[in-house]
Amino acid sequence: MTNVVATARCDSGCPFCFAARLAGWEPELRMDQWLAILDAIPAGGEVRLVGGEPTLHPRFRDLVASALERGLEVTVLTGGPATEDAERVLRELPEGRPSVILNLNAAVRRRGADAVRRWARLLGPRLVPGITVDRPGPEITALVAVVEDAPTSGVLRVGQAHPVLGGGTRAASPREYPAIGRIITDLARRVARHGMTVALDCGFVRCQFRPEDLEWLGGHGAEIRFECRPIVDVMPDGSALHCLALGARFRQPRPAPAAEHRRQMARARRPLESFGVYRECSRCSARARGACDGGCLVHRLHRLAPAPEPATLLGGPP
Amino acid sequence: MSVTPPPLAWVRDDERVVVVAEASGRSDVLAGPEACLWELWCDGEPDAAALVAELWDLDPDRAIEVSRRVRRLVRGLLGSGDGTEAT
Repeated sequence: MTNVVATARCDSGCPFCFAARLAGWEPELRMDQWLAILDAIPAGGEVRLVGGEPTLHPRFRDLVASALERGLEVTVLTGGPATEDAERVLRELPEGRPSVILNLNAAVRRRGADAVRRWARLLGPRLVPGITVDRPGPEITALVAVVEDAPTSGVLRVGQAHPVLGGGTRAASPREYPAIGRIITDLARRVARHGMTVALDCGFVRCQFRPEDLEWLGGHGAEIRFECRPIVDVMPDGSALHCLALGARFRQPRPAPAAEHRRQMARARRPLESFGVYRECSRCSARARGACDGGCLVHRLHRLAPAPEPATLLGGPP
Repeated sequence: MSVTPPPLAWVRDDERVVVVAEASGRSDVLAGPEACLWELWCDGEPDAAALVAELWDLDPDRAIEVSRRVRRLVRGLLGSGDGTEAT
């Protein structure tokens, strides 16, 4: 799976969005760049169009068509189609697989609940509703209520708002994680009554969920993982980022298969694997056995302090 | 925060200090008086070694060894000594 940033433009302005990282990059993916990126994706692979708001790309239809023509699976991450033609493109995506991930935070707030319900009817099982939790509070329940009776894929993607490196976006604090864990579990119990399950995105930590909640989630088909790994977001110039949140840190300048990028990025971040978002992570048994990565790497990097210059440390008598 | 990581960075965890050298792909861990000395050095304490010896009730030979071990770790992380490979 390869994420490709189609455009830096967006009309949603979500406070937690990593798109702040896109300033300074080429604002719009060109067709020749897109085709070169597609060349690096193995046949039968999946490409995800992200942004910004990818449906704002003036050649959104062509982007999707050229990937489908190559036999690739196409997924679009959107806050709601920006134009009528973009809506038609989404409706024309092949049936039989979830292919549109709808950010409910943006879609409900910007386009309204009625529009979201209509898209859910039009797209049916191709639609995967998604929410991002940026603080403990009741807001997400109201957002999800908009689609819980709709005939979607039956999976609700749940993300936790992580910071961008250096800050500047709204992010959930690790201190808030346990409260967020309880809210997500309550949400999972609620949507289960409507036949839906939840799937957690990256950067959650195991200890933010109570043992009994983990047991319930695991027993009700939830896709729970406590990972922070290279996502690989491909920029319009063909370079690859670990993820938008980390910006140019670990950037790979040349186009290559996503698996190769992931290998190189995993190697580069290896020295950062020995600590987590909490001081207690270093003696956590779940972390030691690989059941939790210790949370988002950006949070971990924000914990690091620069040491004095090595010459200072090495100077002087022993 | 800079895209380029500093030569050495560190974080305090429970009962240990983790020191990271991204450029060389290495990290290592300090505990006990070595971790204490590291923190005092990074805080700019001018007489860190003497302070550690006092805090940890170290005899002079042991105090010197603590300083040597921390410096050996720094050299190892920077790729110029016999430090431990990335954990």
